[in-house]
Amino acid sequence: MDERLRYEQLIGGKLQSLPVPDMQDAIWARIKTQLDLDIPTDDGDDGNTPPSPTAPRIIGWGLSILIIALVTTYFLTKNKPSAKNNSVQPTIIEQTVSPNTQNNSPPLQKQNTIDKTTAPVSTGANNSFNDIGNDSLAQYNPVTNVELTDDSVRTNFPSPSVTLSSLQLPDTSSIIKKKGRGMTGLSDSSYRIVPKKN
Amino acid sequence: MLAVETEIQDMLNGSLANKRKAQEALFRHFYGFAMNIALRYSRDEMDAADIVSHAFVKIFKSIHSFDSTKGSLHAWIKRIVVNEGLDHIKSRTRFSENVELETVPEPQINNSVIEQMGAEEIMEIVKKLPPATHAVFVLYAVEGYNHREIAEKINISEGTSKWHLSEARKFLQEQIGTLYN
Repeated sequence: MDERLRYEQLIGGKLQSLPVPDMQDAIWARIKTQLDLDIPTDDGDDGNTPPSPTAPRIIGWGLSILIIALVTTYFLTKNKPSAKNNSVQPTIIEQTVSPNTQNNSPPLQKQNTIDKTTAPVSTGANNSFNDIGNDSLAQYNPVTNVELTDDSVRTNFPSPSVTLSSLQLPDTSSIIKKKGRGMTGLSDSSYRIVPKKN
Repeated sequence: MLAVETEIQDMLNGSLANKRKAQEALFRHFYGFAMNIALRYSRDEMDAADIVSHAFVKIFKSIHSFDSTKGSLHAWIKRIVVNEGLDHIKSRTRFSENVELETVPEPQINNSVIEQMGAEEIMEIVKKLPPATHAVFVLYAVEGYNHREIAEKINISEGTSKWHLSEARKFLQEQIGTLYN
C-alpha cells in the first residue's frame, strides 16, 4: 500500500523541478522586518546602508528653530496687552483730568475768571464733593490737577468716557487734602479794627 | 571540506551569531530549494512566499537547535518548510475526516501521458484537489512519506490518510484522462 506507483514517482519528480519565481528580495525584506522585531541584532550589521549622518542634525536644527519661534511668540503675546494699557492710560488722563488740554470745557474758562479775583477758597458749607457745582469745581482744579497725576489715581479711572463732573471727584476724595482755613489760633476778633486811643 | 560546504558553515555560524548578512546569505542560498517545496503546498506564489518567509523566521529563531550530527541542513530546512506548508493548509481546511480506507485502489493512468506533461501543468491539476487531499498526496507522492508518517504529521489516522490518497488518485485519473483523451 505504501508503495508509490510509477505515475506518482513521475509526478513527484516533475513537481521537484517547478520553476521558482524571483521573489527573493521581497521575501527577505519581510523576514528581516520580522527578525528585527523578534531577535534584533546588536552588531549594527543589519544589511542596510547606514542612515545619513546629516539627518539627526537637520532634525536638531528644526527643533531649535521651532523652540525659538515658540518662545518669541509667547513673549510677544505676553507683552502686547501691557503695551496697549500704557498707550491708552495717559490719553485718558489728559482727556478727563488735565484742564490745559480741554480748551472748550467750561471749568477751564471759569478757572481763568476766578484766578483773576482773590475769592475765598471755600464757601464754607459745601464740603462734600458730590454737591459741588461747576463753579466750586473750578476752584479745586489746581488741587485735582496735582493729585491726579499720581499713578494710584490713574488706575482708578474705569473708562475714558467718564465725564469730569461725575468721576474724579468722588474717586479722588480720599487723596485730596482739604486746605486749612487760615491760620490756626486766630479769630475774627483778632482782625477787629480798633480806633487808636490817644 | 568543499568550498560550498565551507561557505554554508560560515553562513550557519554567522546566523548563530544573529548576523543579518549571514542570515541573508543563508536565505538566498536555500531560497530556490525552500520555495520549490512551498509551491507544492500553496495555491499561488503569494501563498508560497508566506510559507517561505514564516519558515525562515522560524529557522533563524531556532537555528541553535540544529544538530549537524542528526542530519543535514537541507533536511532540517525541508522539514521546517513542509511543516509550515502544512500549517498553511490547516489554517484553511480540516484534515479530520470520518472516512477511512484499508486499501487504496490503483488508478489506470498512462505513465507516458504524465511524462509528456510539464511540471506547471501537473501542479495546476494537483492544486484543484481539496486542500487536505492535496497535502496528503504531496506528502505521499512527492516527499515520500508513508501513511504512518503522514498520519503523525497532520494528526489523522492512517485510514484517513489512505482515503485522501485514494481520492487524489481518482481525481487525477479523471483530470488527466479528460486532458489527453
